[in-house]
Amino acid sequence: MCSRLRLTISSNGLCALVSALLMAAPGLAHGAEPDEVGIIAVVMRSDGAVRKLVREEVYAIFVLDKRGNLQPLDLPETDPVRAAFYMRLAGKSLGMMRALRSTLVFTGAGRPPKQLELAAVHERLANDPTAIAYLPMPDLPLGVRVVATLAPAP
Amino acid sequence: MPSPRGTASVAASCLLLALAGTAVGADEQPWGHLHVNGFATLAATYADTDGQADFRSAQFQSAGSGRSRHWDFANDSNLALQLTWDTPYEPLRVVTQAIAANDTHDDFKPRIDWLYLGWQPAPDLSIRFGRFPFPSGMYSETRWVNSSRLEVRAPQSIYAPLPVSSLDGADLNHYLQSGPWLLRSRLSYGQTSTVIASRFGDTEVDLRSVISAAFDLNRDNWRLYLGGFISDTRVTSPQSKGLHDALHEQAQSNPSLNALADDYTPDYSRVWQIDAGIEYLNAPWTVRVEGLYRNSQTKLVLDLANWNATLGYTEGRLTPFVAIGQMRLHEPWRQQALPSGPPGAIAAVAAYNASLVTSNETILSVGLRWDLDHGLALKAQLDRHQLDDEQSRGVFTNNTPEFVGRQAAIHVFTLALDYQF
Repeated sequence: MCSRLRLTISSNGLCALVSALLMAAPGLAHGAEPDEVGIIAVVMRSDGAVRKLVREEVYAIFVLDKRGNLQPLDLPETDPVRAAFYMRLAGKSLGMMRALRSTLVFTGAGRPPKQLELAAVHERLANDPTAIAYLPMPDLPLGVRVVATLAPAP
Repeated sequence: MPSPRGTASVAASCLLLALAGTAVGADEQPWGHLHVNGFATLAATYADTDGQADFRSAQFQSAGSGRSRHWDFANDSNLALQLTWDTPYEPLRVVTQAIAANDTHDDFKPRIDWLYLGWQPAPDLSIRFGRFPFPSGMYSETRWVNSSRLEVRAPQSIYAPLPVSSLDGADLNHYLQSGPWLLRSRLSYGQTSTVIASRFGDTEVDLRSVISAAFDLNRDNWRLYLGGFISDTRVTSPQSKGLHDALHEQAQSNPSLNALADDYTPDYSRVWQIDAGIEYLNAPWTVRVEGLYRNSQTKLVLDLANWNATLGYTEGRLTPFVAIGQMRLHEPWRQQALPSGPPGAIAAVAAYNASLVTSNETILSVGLRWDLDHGLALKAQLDRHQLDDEQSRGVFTNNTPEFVGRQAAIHVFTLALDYQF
């Protein structure tokens, strides 16, 4: 059997550095607008092992990387749902989350959730009973179970 | 300027690594899982020292903006790769972090900052063997990760005076979670050494029998830190050895000089440091305060009582911030009266007095962090350095004699682009 080493280049990888530098200028004005996002659901496949999570458990999975056997998924930073999710869950802005993730990764204490585009998140949820993600409540795909919700601040 | 050759070699290494990663493919195991992460900063710094001194970000750096060059692109720039290999034998992992940065010889080249074997015998317990971050403060593990903070560099009053960033040995990490509380306790033992270059020659710094303990308590938006280390430390340079030998020789006829000679002993001396910090991260506010107290039995290692405070306010992707830091010698150095003895004794004491340079200063900073897409952050920061006593040269180096105790403030401007993946 040919043994292979699985390799992950986190986020968009090294290649992104070059493209990011080239694309930074048009991206300067792009900002998430978390205030406009409605209720966010934390979801798993309907036959997943988890039925309900409290906020502290969601925080541990997505912020502290205390994930157990679950595979948390992140939406891209450009998606306003991601900014709203972490603002409601942890009170952290995009920049603050980047700082926390840096600390997590570069202390060797953990790794951030895998980042996928929305369509890929749907696909992963359909195929992986351990995948856990956050999605806007009105746009949930079939076959998922809501294990927690985060509503906008009143 | 960074060496083009060194920079090119690092860039080539990164590219090859990325290509190699693609080549090994995404097949599963059984050799485990390799994670690649990295960070980089491209920074430009200008210091208005009137050509009297160089600004440096850390004590080990030997040149910078102000005297050696107008704009400095090296001292705050870096490029790092971290490889984490989760072995098939789950409790074991190997972590290495290579960083290309400006070294003490003003040469931009890579070095291995971390290389350790991690063993996790229980979910809440891990042990690291090898080279790992030197446990010197609240942010010692992310000292070079500029994207992890608001400022362009780790607070100078806390981190600049420490010339080492890694420790060779073993450390034990324990995590205790109770409800919303998470306590990380860390106990380390090891040794390390480095060289600090200057225009007057190299200074060797050796730390052995380093024992460290650190406690990191987290709850929601709050983080509390308390840590410290004790070590046997030896600092030797041709100048300090010459001064020690001259004082020691003159002490044969003037025993009162023995105490002065001991201040510059080439032998190991006890050094200990404690560090405490608090952090509050709750959008839109960022608040960080950290202080350290260092005690040393030799004048070759400064006795310090330093602190830093940072306040930031996030609006969308912009975070303006202000920071203040102070560096204080907690026991003022006293110049010695010149003895009425032989010329050798007079010369030795005069040389001793001339060596008493402190780093006492107050640093005020204002800046802006702009979080861009694709893991990029753009920062601008203006620092105002005010030397606080007539023997101080602050964090600066390569100074002219007139610079010591300078009354006029020195302004340092830095523009930086951070990236992480």
